[in-house]
Amino acid sequence: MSATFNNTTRQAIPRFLDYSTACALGLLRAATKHEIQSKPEFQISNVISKWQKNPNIYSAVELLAESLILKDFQSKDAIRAANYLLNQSETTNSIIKELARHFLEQPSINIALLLDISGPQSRYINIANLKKSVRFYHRNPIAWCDMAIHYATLGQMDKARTAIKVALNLAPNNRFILRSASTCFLHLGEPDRAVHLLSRSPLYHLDPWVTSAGIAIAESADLPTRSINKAKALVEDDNLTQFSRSELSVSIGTKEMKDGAEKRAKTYMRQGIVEPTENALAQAEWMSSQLGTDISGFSKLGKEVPASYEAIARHLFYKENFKDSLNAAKHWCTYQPLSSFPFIFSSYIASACLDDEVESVNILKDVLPLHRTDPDFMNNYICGLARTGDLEPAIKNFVNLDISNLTDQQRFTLTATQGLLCFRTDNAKKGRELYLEAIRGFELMNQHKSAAIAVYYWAFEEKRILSPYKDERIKDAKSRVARLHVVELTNSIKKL
Amino acid sequence: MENAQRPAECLVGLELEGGWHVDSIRHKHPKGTGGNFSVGYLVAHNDGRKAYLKALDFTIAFEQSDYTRALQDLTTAYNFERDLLEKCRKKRLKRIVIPLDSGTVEVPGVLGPLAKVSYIIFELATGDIRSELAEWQEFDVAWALRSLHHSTIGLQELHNAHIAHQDLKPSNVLIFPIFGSKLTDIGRASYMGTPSQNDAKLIAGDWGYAAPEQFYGLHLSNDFSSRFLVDNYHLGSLIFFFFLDCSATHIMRHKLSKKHMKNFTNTSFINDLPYIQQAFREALDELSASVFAKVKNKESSEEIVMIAQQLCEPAPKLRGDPHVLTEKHVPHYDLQPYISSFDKLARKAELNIL
Repeated sequence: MSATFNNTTRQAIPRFLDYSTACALGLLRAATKHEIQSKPEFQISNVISKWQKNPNIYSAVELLAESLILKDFQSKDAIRAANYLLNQSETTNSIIKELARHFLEQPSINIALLLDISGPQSRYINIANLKKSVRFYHRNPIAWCDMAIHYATLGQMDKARTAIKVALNLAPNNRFILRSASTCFLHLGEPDRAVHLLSRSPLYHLDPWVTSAGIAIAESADLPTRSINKAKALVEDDNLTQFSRSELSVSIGTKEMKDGAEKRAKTYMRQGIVEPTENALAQAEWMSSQLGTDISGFSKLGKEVPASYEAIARHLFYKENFKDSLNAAKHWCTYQPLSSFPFIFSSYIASACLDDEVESVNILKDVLPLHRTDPDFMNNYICGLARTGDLEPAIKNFVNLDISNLTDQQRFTLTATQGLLCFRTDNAKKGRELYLEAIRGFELMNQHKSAAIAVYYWAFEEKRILSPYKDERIKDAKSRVARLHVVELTNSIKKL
Repeated sequence: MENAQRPAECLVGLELEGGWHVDSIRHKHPKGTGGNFSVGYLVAHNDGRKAYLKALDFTIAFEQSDYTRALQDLTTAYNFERDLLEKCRKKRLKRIVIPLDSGTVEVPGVLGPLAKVSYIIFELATGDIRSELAEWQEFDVAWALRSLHHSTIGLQELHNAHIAHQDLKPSNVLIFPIFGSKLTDIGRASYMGTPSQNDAKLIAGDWGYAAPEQFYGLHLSNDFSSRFLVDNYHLGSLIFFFFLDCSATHIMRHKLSKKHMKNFTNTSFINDLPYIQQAFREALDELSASVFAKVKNKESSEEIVMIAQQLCEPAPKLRGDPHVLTEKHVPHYDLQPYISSFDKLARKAELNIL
């Protein structure tokens, strides 16, 4: 059977983003509302007067650069200076023209930048460029951090670990490095190290971005959450921007929800979406599904918040719009290739909701090397291969699976998939036994929805081989799907 | 007070002490040196020497609401600069523009104490780096490297005299026909052991040329050497100016602004340093491309870029020659290795073997 994506838990764990994407999403901006910067008013008037008296490249560049420092992009003189530089002959340095163009352009987030659709080959090129960069200027922690992301995305975890350690040594108290390193350690299976790293940082009690990462990772790994009251104080601190507090709000809200304080959870959830990051919005969307509420104005937020692919995919999924949800989920996959979850989610929709096993396999096969050790991911891949008739690789992958460290849910899911493989290899008797074992296991765990999905896949196999038990199984599957309101199978069950 | 009535603007034709005659007005520099109002003149000596006169106008103080404080600030700044220049003269600093004379002249037709205008007379330069570069049809590597060599010597001389210039920029490197480049305008300087108005300023010099740590006030520590390190950054920034027509600060702020979608926000130096270092890395790429295009010899090109990298390193503690940084008995802001490097590079360029 296709593994269901685990919708019972989610944390606003920081995304493992490269520097350019983090900048574009505004994740590195000051947390405080009022930036501390004195304005040298006398001096700007000085450069303006210099430019007005003697308009040349140097006075134009000085005026532009100072306007840039002061973020005075509306200055008429500076705009004139930028146009002057752009109209200069070809001999003007390219960097100066770049400066002038940047000054005049309206900033807009390049969606292509956020969706890294590059294949492994370009990642190797990126790594080569970054290596060259650090050979020349080894003190740049950003280059080391970006290198770690590329290595991790290629599945070269040891090299990723080395690179992120260098970045951490160079900049142990930087928000971007701290959040990236903690997420990297989480992917490396060292959540305790990630939490330790964050909680010992002086930024932990000052920067809501760092606090939020600490709480989310600790909660996800069932580690003790430190200083929750100080974190709550940060959420209440109106000197901080709503944007900077959004992930912290939903992280605390999630903890409150877990502790049973639903009213407080809703309050934090609402505060988290005043000006949310895409991660906070996705978390809030998940929370709303758990709390049985709706986020008012989600459509508007989904359009306004850049890269909110996960939030939209989840929202559409909950609204049973599976086709559009799959489209958004595919964007989510390209945005977060390091996480197996978007791939599991997408393949589940393709397989279970849209009955499109070929699509399910296609979604998974490109990132197979990276997630080969993830049992849920591999289960969906094996299931997809088996159902499309590609039995040999399906069995090979199944045999090679590491089943030493599975949760009960994963164990029963794989038992059902083994049943599927037995059916496909003309061993229906064994297949029935395995499906039955999986369904009983799910029922014992009170995972009735998973049991219903297993029954559906079982019924599908019985019908495929035209067995005498098919009517009984189909009836059971239809009854369970209707009773438990398994919306994902509403369309597929009709075809049985 | 109307501009036309300012006594400092009425010196043309006057005879000054020491045999000087004011020929013509060169420029008005509102709120220029150290925040003073200064007016530049061309003056001639009886022996035929031409020179530059900087006249200070204290009348601007009376336009301020707290004019007593403003007047005190102006006179303090003027006296501080004059004293520093006198120290430079006594120490015979060769790469610093030294005053030839100074004094006070009474402007006829103006009554009261305001009629007296204080002035300082300097050697007359042919221009500054910018005016020189503006005239070039083709980039002159030898000239640029020699000018950098002279500027480095000038800065080292100031540092040895315990003076931090704090406003080294292209317009403050003057060009003289025989003597080459000299540093000028120490109105924004700080002098070790003598407090001045400049000491407390977040950025004493030009914001467009400020070192990264200056935006965060890091140089305001008790350790005076942090001010010397700011000077070293400014020196490295001159390399960027020669090869890219803009300062290292201009490029780094541009790169930061571009990456952060025109919204780079200052937080703390420690937090922002990695972003600045990334911007610096991108700035070095721009510099490398330009240097490699203008200097054909790969080894020399790499050396020029390396010097810029070491002098403009955003982390002040790591700024400078790595050998000097690890040396116990040499101050870490020491510029001697760069004097040698620039001299060697300039010689090579002059011999056309660069």
